[in-house]
Amino acid sequence: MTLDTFVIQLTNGLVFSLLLFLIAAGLSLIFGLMDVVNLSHGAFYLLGAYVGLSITRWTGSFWLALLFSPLLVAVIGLVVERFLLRQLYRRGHLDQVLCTFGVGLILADVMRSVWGSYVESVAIPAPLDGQIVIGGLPFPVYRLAVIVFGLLIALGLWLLIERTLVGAMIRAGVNDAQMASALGINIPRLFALVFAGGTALAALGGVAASPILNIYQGLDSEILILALVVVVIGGLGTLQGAFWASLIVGMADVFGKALLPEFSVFVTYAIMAGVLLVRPQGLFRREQTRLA
Amino acid sequence: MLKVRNIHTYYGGSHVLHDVSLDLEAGQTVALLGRNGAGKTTTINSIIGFVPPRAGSITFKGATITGAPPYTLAHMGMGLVPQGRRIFSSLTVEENLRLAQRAAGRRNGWSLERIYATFPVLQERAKSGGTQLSGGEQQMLAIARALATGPDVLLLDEPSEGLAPLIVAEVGRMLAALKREGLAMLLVEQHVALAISVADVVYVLNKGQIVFSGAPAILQQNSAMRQQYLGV
Repeated sequence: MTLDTFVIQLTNGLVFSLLLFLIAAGLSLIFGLMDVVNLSHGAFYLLGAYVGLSITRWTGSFWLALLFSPLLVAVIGLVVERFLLRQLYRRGHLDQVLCTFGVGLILADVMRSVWGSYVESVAIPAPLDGQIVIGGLPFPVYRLAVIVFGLLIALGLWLLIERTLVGAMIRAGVNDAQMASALGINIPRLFALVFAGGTALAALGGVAASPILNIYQGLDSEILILALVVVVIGGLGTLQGAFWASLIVGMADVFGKALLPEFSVFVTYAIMAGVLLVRPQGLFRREQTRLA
Repeated sequence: MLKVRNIHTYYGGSHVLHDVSLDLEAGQTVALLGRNGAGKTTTINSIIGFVPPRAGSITFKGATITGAPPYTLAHMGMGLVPQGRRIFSSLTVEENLRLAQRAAGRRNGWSLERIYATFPVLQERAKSGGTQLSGGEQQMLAIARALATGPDVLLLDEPSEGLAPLIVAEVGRMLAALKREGLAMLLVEQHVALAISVADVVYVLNKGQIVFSGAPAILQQNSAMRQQYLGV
């Protein structure tokens, strides 16, 4: 691998990592706070991409899609949380897994009937569709923009979680939701907020990815599995964990495909298996905490 | 202020509390004693809403709260110092306190200045993570955190558990000071001497049933009962 291709692959790896982070951050927080394995998370990602596609076609503006698709998908997430998941918090994981898996299947069928089974793609929005040359290498502007955008979202999320009252509530809830409730935190409302926020982030990832990756049926489960791997490696309910694990998985995926195309899937899972063996709580989870 | 009437509480299939009733008046300190497994923590968990009773009723300030979610009770002025402290490990000491001040949405919570004046050690450790504290410091934080919510009734579940004798004495002085301020407290304890020293009324639980209620002096004189139900 020459230095030039290395730099190009590094850029691609960063792009993929940060998109993965948008998806995995919500999954990890929902998992850590609510103790719910949300297997419909990939479907919300794909739904975000499809809704974004339709908004872009109707209005001609990718930017409106980037804004409104996550909001619409968050509303659907709220409905799912309020009317399905909320009934299941007191039950075991199996019931929740079956429920969210079912929601994912239903959403997948709805998406198939609304948008069909074609492979769709979205044009890169006008001001970002060129290339810029840095150090003699051409870089697609949109990919660089995704990197900056992803880093800004990561920074914003970090500030939200670490520096605000709502963030402290979320961290307290991840540690011990029952005790947080005894202090007066409205846990059902916090759960709904985090679930809606998580689905909005997944949808945001879907829209942001659509000019780079195609949109097609089945992408939901591909993305879900990678996001689950990120959560396992990073540890449940930690934003930093989701961030660094997204970088690990994103880079492993991109460089794996470039260097060892036959083994690229193996590389990602080998890392996950290694982490599970050495640090089963994930790389960034400080300790085992109590969940209500 | 707090009335528990004939509650029956279950963990899954096992019937833990049998027809438990108790009263806590404004400004009173009530101690709930009993051996391990007698149902003391279950009584606290029933009141705060962690494990709602299947039968019986609980009223707080005249409102029925049986089965109400814990956060609504915090808003009404019920504070909890739970067994095992349950400090939020990913929050600093100060964040634990600030969160408690805001979460219950009450105006009479203790200010940081007042908390630090009462518990100087917490000011020294303000930026430390919640679980980097010693057991005694964690217990002080658990009490301070409950006071920060501005409670009218404080439920304390074994605040002396696992602490060195000097620290237990400090907890005792703290409870006496809170009592002088007129805070109503329900104190669950294994440490009988500590409980008796602050309580106005004592209840003794055995196998999920109240077997004694009355003035602490009566329990102190009745060594046969102390032997049988408390093992002291």
